[in-house]
Amino acid sequence: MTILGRAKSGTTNIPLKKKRFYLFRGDREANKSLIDRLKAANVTLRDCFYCGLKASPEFMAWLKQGECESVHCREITQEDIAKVPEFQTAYQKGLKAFKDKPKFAPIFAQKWLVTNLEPGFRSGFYEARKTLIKNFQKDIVQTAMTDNSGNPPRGYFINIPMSAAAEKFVFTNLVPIEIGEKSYVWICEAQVSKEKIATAPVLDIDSSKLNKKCEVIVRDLPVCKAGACELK
Amino acid sequence: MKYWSRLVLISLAAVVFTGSFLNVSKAQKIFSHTTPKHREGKYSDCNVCHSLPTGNWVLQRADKDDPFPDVRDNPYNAPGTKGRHTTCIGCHASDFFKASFCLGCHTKPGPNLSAKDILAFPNRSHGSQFTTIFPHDAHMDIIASNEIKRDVAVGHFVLASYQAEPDEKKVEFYNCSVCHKTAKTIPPIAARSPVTDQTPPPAQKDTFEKGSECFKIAECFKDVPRNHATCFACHYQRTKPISTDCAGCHKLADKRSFEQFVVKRYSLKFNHEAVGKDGKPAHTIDCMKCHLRVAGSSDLQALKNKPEPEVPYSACSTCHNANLKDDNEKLKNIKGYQCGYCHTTAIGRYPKPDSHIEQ
Repeated sequence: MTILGRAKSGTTNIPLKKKRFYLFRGDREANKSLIDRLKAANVTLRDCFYCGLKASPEFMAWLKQGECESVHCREITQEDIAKVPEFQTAYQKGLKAFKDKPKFAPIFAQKWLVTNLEPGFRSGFYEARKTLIKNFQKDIVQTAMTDNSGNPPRGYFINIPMSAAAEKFVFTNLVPIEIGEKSYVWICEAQVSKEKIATAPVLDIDSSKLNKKCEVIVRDLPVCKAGACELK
Repeated sequence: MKYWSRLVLISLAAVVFTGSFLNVSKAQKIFSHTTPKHREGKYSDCNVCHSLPTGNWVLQRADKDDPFPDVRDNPYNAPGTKGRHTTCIGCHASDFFKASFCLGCHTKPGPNLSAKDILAFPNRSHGSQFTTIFPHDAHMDIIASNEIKRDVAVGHFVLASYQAEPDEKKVEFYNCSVCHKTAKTIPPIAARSPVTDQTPPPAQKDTFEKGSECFKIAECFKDVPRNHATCFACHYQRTKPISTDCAGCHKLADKRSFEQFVVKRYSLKFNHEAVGKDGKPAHTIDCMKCHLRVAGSSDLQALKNKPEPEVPYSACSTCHNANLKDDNEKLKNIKGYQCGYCHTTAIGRYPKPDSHIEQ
């Protein structure tokens, strides 16, 4: 089954690159409890998560520069270390750890910088999201991720284990996707058959224009900035 | 006669009696991690024998990679202890006088060995007793960026003047190439045989042979991490599994593997760096366009050993439909035809599998 990774907003298509979708067996009725749990779920959003860790404005700016979710998104350069206090602290820790090998100390203090970051900054955001997904883990049939370059980006569920020639499945992004000032979780139903490659319904950010087989959970994004973690 | 029988019996008894005093070696010729004594009790902790990093990590590496803090030596002294051979001596004291025991780690037996007389570590000729645990899905999630413009573009008329954009360096985001870089040298390659009971006809002569594209272009292939360097960049300390938690990434296999690193593909003719008619790279758009199974894989061994190809047919047919149709037509109409657009005839000689659905 092909998922077209784009969110429709009026006449505009917003590409959903590198977004993970999860497949569940059964139609939406059969997955009612999943949908209810998703509606009730307490979701951690990126800015609020790092804000809760009291991240510096420089750290937040580094993340936002590439719309990164974590420090594992791109290389941390010497310039970044000079600018971002969290990186600077980790770098100093690295220098100290390899102080008996002065030739190598600056290399590994930079290359392996993330291993010296404070826990939350290393992979805390990923762990927080994993907790949400873990609640649904046992029912997930398959996962797929949309690509990074397609127009629109595409994700594929392949070799779906089927118990009949045709079956209904529900797919959802589980983890809210942040667009503009809101976050979105789509839950859509799709018929999958052994004969034909199925294409998933279009994801619209406007629930009134959304395909009948889909529903969307929309939440306002709280404003969380470094030093001012408040809800809007 | 009676005298001779008595003599034989006495001699036999003497041999048995003397033999009972001889030490039976507890050591194997090749060290094994699988013996109960080597994996139970205090030895279930790998760090009892393997301290990280070993003192010689700064030396040039055999794999030509830049030195990094790593385990690069045979177990010698248990961490935090002084003295010689403390790791092994607790159980193997009596074996230290046997040449075969010395040869487990040393190039020659004897009491006066130096650091130069130590076998390379790890010893490739001993094979590997471990498989690697690696969840691609988790790693793909953690390097994901949230590439959605958060601000909605709104049209405003403003007084504006032209200003050149600042000369910012293009930010390179992490992706598959963090671990899978373009190969610098052509790796050992082989056709991956399908799992089937069918006996195909012999492979016809193939145009794809030594001298043709992927046999001479290293860029056809992507590399895989073959030491700890890539993993340690994030997992050296604090991020689990950390470098001293060997079992976090290495699982004891059922049997020792002497398999050499070979890139096995169903479609050996695929060139990652192929150039299209427009002169632009044809296949380097995004790995995720074709390597679809990887995104959902939490188990590296299952991914590697799955009979289905990692890249499904549909990923190829999206762009190469005309060529594949041509191959399929020939398969239908020419008796004994062996598919050769993607495959070498080593694979093309097999009947078309169900996975090759034409849409």
